Amino acid sequence: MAGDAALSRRGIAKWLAHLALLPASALMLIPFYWLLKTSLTGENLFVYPPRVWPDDPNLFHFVDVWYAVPFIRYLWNSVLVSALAVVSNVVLNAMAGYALAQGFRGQRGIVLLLLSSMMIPFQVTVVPAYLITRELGLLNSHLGMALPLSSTIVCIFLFKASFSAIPRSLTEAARIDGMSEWRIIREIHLPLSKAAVATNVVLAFVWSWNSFLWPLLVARDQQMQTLPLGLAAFLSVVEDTSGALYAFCVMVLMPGLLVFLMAQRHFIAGLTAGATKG
Amino acid sequence: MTAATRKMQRVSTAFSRYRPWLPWVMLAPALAIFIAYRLAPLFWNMVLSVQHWSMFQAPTFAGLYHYRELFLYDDTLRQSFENTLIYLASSPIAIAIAFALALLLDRPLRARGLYRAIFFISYPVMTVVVAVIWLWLFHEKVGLVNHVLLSTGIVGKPLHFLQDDQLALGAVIVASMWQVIGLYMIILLTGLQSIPATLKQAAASDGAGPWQRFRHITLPLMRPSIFLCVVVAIVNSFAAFDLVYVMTDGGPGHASEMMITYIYDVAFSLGRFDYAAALTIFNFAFFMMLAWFANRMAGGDAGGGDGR
Amino acid sequence: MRIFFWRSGLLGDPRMWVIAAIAVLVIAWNAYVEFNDDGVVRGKVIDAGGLPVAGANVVMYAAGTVGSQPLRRVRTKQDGSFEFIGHGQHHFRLQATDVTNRPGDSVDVRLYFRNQNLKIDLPLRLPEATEVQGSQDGFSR
Repeated sequence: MAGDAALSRRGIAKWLAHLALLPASALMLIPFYWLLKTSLTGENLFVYPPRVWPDDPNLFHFVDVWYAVPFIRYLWNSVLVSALAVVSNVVLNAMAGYALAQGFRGQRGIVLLLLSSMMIPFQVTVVPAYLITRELGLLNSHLGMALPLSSTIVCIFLFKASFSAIPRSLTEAARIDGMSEWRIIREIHLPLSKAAVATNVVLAFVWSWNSFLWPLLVARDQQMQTLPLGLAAFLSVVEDTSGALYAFCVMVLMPGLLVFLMAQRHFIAGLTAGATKG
Repeated sequence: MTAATRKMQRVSTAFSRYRPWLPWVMLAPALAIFIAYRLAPLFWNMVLSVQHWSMFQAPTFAGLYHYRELFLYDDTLRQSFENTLIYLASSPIAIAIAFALALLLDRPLRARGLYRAIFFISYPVMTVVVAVIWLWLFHEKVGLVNHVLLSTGIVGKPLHFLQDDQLALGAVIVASMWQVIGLYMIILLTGLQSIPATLKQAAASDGAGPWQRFRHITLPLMRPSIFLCVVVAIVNSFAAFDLVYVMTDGGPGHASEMMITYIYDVAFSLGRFDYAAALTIFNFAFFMMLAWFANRMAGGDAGGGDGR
Repeated sequence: MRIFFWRSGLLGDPRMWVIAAIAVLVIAWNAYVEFNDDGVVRGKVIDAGGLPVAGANVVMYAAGTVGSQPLRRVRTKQDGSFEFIGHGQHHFRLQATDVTNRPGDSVDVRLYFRNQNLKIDLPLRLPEATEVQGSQDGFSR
């Protein structure tokens, strides 16, 4: 089976793979480079033909953005909404997952209910969800922006699977010892389900950090806008004529990229599991 | 039976027997969210769509008034629906490309992790940023796309991508493909890596060539992953809102209008929540049909179950 | 606290170091800004022959566009130097004019933060002194 012929075939195959993968990677990365280049260029943006390297690179577009737009305020709003979404996701999903894992009467009905809710895409609910949020008086508030994103059905099932894998005897022993169910979740089940928690955190973070349509409807004042909203607003004011717009994009990307690079493995695992967005 | 065992038997049902309200208490918050933001809106949409709704008066029953308008008189809807279909039809291309990439990566390359990160990095990027990036890339004077097309002689004059009736939607689709291909690739790669190598080796030693191995082993085993990609594609078409809103705002005219942006316009620019509800129900019915089709094509089994 | 960090293995995690590094950078930058934001802009005006000019005008305009409203106006001292204090801008233009208001060099200045202290090295030149009935609005540059 082995042998020189097979080995060299594999070697050529690797080489060919790189040959195909490198241009593909370039295609994927070029838009990022183009963005970076535009944000650093000191030249007039509309010089033709467009240069490959930034002419007279400087950081002044970033200064312009800093003074033109309440970036910290936008950042804070995004962080707050995402934090709310992530925390409530973990808490709510873990509780629900635990209940499902322990079993109770009427469970099948609930599971069916959840599965069918999963089939309803978010955009289909937008108009009444807006009306409901208005009735609740939560328009223009962080809570209002975070609420629809505070629980993910996919993650409930993830927790359920993870909790079901914990041996019953452990839970029963804890109960005999008189632990309340809440303590059992907190001290036994959650620590044993680190992967599910990590996936949940990543999913909830990405979904809330990048969400655009919902905050667009809920946030009325500029003071409440999140980063994507601020960017879109800036775009409509400045069209695409200013290097500041691209500097703004780079600044907006920084936190997300940082989180991505630091939690890459969890990211990919979480997003594959949650690709069927609940 | 010892006393301890008896006690254990009693306690083991303590969860739901002695405190039947406990599971419900635990489920309540999550359920409340879904009822409030998924189920109730769906039903409210259904009700709204057969009402005349107004901010100033109580709603009145309207029967199929809105649906008649939807099916018979609304040209913009026709355009949006068409565009959504075109958008969906482009996803097999993206999935195929991602499949090729995944196949290339499904071998012990040293830089595999790096490649994976490179292809995937565009997915967690905010869609608004993706839109701005591609807005700039497609710029009619200094955009990179035009520059490349002109320098390689493919076109003689720069193309006004985002102002052109034919090209605007294409531009949005390209941007969306760039963003989502990484996700498809990761899904497919995970699927590929779960195919036991022994299967392929056995087939090879039985004399099956690479193409035959692909067709009879790889493809069938990849069905759930491909199904997952299709579901992602369908869900993504509804999320194209961000891209269209920023890049073209549905324009020029309604050449790049999608169902979701049209619904948004009708509801929040025109204030016609009732008609928007009818459009939403129409959209939802279409979505269910697609999901059902995709399910059938995947062999009747909903892919990998509930999000493994 | 220290025991917590040590025990949980956080100190070994490179990600914590990244966050720590960012925090340090932010603090250092803010400290730098605090110490350098008096808004002092210094420069020199010379005439066509290279000699310092006393009593010339230097006008500060907002954000580099031609014809915008002047913000501050200052005269040069005996040795030709001038100084603005507390201007509050991050992007402005300085225009030197001589005593008859004929325009000399103008320079577009961008700062990294508002009120950044700056010393302009290149002196602003004034045009040749000629016996011309000076036009009042010499903003033809």
